[in-house]
Amino acid sequence: MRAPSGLEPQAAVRARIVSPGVVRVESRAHGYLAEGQAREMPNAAHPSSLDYLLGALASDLIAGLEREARRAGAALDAVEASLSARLDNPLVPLGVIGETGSARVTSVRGSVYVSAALPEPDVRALWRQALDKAPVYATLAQSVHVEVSMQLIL
Amino acid sequence: MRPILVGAVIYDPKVAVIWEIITRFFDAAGCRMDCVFYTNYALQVDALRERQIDIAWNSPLAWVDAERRATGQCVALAMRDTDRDRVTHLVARADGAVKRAADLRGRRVAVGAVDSPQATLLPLHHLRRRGLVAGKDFEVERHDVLVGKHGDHVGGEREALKSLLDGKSDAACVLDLNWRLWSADGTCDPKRIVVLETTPPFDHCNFTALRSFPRQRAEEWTRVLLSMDYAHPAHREMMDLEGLKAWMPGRVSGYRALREAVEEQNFFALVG
Repeated sequence: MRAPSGLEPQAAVRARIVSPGVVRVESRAHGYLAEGQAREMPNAAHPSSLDYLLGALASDLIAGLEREARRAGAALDAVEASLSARLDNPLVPLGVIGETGSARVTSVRGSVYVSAALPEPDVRALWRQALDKAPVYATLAQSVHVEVSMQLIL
Repeated sequence: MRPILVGAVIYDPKVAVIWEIITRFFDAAGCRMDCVFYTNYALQVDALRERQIDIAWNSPLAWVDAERRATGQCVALAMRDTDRDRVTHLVARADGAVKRAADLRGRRVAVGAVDSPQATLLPLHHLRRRGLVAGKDFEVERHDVLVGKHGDHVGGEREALKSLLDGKSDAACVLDLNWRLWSADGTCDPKRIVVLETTPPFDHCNFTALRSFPRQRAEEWTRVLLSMDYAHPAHREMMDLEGLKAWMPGRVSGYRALREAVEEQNFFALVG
């Protein structure tokens, strides 16, 4: 059975410019700052939009895994994700005139490292369950090549 | 008043960082500027001519092109200290048969991209001065990496050197700064590869404006740029990234050989 999505959105944010290139995002009772889109300013004071996108995927994956383990009564000692994203053409978001291609993310690659006193098949089953229920992952995987491996660290 | 728009050709997002820092430096000095990025110099020279930008950070070839297309109505505002008096080395294997320029007759010379002043146009011009005509007296092996960017990307030059190291060619053309770097970092062994010939000095990039750009704004912008001080830690970061110790007033005396080279090689008619 498929539940109706309903009239209420599952997430909502408000965002406003607070200084050149810097945006404050309000989400429920929380607020955070973003700087730029995908620029590689080494000394930027805040994460970029792309950093947040990747961070959202990372937290989606490992929070989901931790929840699945908790529900199964299994303890995970440590969970850590390392992800990287590639754009179709990183010069496009910079506005380079004459460049072809697009600003879209074409691939996300990375690993989730899990330390747990559980047999590997059990951890892999939890990982699969987490992937099935992860909204950010499910959304990105529709249009982006997402390749995240789960590695068990003993 | 709109900010002064400065054009730059970039091939890597990291290069945009340099321009971000320069923009902030100008803003802090009360001289508002913004950057417009282009994928190649032909587009940038078009934009300068059409006044879509006020100032262009031009390669030496883009300067020559802008001068040619604007019929002498360009002015070079400023350049890096490291843009002045560059030379290109023609290098060869120390144990090879090529000991002087004349020995290149009937042999193969590896050059950079077709539009690289330092790795193609100028060294071929130099060899012609030595009585050797490319394609007639010796074969040219071109390494067209990122054509349109006028050899800004070092890939073509590196490929030319690799060709020499691999024994596929008898000489290669390398800018002095790259030669120094690659001799020091192990890319090539200066005992195995030696300098055969060196071109006369030439100048590299400059900030170009049209003479129609208001003189007062051009002078103000140039004054702020030249005030950048390598001794100031906040300025040094950008200057190190861009490879300079000081900005200098623009000069155009260092482009004569390149003008001759493009005419002699019919560059703009053949390549454009």
